[in-house]
Amino acid sequence: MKTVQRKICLLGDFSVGKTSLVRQFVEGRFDDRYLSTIGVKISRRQISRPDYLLNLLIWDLAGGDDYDDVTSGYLRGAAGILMVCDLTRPLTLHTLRKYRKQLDEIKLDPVVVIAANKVDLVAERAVDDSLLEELSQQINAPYLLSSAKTGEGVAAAFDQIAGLLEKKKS
Amino acid sequence: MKDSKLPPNLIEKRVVEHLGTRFAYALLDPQFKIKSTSFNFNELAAPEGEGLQGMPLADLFPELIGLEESMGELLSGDLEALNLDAVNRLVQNGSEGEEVVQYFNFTLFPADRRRPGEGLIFLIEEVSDQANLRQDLVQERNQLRLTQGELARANRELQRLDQIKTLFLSMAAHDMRTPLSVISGYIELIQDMIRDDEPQDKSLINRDLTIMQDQVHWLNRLILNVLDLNLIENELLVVDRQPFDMRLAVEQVARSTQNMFKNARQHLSYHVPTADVFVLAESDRIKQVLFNLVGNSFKFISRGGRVHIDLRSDIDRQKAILAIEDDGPGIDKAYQKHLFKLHYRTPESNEVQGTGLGLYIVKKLVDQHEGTIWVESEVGQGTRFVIELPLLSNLQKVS
Ligand SMILES: Nc1nc2c(ncn2[C@@H]2O[C@H](COP(=O)(O)OP(=O)(O)OP(=O)(O)O)[C@@H](O)[C@H]2O)c(=O)[nH]1
Ligand SMILES: [Mg+2]
Repeated sequence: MKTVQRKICLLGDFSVGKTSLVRQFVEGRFDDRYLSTIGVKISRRQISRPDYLLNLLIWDLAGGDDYDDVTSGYLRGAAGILMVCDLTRPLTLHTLRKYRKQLDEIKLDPVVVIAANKVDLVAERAVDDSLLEELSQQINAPYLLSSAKTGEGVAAAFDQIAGLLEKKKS
Repeated sequence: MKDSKLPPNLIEKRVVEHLGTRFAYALLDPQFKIKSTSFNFNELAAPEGEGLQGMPLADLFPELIGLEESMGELLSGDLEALNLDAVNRLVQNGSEGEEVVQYFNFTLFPADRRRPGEGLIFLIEEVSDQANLRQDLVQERNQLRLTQGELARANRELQRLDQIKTLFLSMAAHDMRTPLSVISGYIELIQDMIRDDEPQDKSLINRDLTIMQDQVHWLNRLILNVLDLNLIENELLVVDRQPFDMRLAVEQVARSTQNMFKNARQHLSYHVPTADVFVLAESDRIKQVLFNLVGNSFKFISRGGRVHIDLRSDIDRQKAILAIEDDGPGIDKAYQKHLFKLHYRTPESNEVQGTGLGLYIVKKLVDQHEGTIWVESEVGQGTRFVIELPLLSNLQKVS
């Protein structure tokens, strides 16, 4: 069967759960502790699509609202971006708007999916669906609810990116 | 001059020693395959790798997959250099064999500036010390921001609760005035009757006392709600659940609110099944739920309005279903989902007495009984509150 390699980057404010999503997706586990990422960590996972195998190279970047030149260097060659926000911190949605603007400025047009993460923290949730709809329209990317803790929506997020990549190609 | 030509790897070693950093490099052909490497390349980049010559660099560094286009631009001279800073790599740590994160900077640039198409140099530099320092700083900054965020949130929540408390106090005081003024009116009436020195019609006095009694019950329930709010806020609300026939609650609540309805020229009716409807519940709490819901409907219906309590059991789903229906003004869809929140009141309900506490407490009590509650209503069509509780099986009833 044919194998295709694609680079996917995770973007989002600090502590929204980027590293945790990758850990859940690649290693199937979750860690409660928070260790801020410095630079970038690249992991791989293969997923099977209807008629080919997709090797994902997943770039977990350091989070923050201060997007700089370094970040754009990391984004070179990215086919897809998983933008992550935290359902317990409304400000993290705004960070994604900034990222979108900066992507447009450097004329990068990867496929984008939004993961609204930490959906397991029901009591602390501070972002309702209408805010997500709005964000999704502004950024022009579909969103889904995810939890790196329970695994909900994690594989689905990467599958959705794969689906969008196929659609874009055809 | 015998020593003037040191072997190249010795020069490299000295340079590396002198700079005090760990770096290594490889020369790549235009297909990005390794042509040659510095003496220490293996040590930094390929612990077990021998015979790296001819190997595509991306086999050693998957980090470079996806960057083919940019690397092509290096060869064509369109790009001067390509940097990847602080790439995290898991490295086996010495004898223990445990894995630790090390950080590396990668740089790619043409080997010959004037003829970039000939090949590239790949430079790898270990920067763990700086990165670890940065990690400490960033970690601290991020933790601090998270704490700030939490504090701000806690602060807003406190302010909100504070506002609610103030609002609640004034509403509660307002609500309590109604039964109190009714009671005080009847006391005066009875005092007048006694002062008149006439032989008294006992049944008249008795009727007035009954009305006063109803109002005292009403006051009592308002006060109970206030007390329960305290329990709920401090997470101390517990229910003592025993096998209990729900029909009793319906009958008792209907009986003791009957007068209140009659005096207001309103109608209360109920229906219970002939077979028992056993649930695991604290009977007083179930009555409190009913009182609150019936009292709520009572407030919103107009003169001549109706409230109906309906109890049935759904054997298939093993549920007791209790519904309280009224022909009042109905509730706008937009407000329905907020109804059970603390002190939420619809704009229409502003003129009607009630602390707005009742539904919140009802919801908490139903939760404590592992039940569900919802509302079905449309503006102008009346309102129906429905509660479902798990039915007790025959076995449980006996034990
Ligand atoms: N309950 C819950 N906690 C989560 C979830 N995802 C992440 N966390 C926690 O949130 C904290 C931050 O997670 P990370 O994955 O390190 O966040 P990050 O986005 O990689 O952060 P930076 O590397 O600083 O950008 C950690 O304590 C995680 O355990 C989730 O879905 N649910
Ligand atoms: Mg991270």
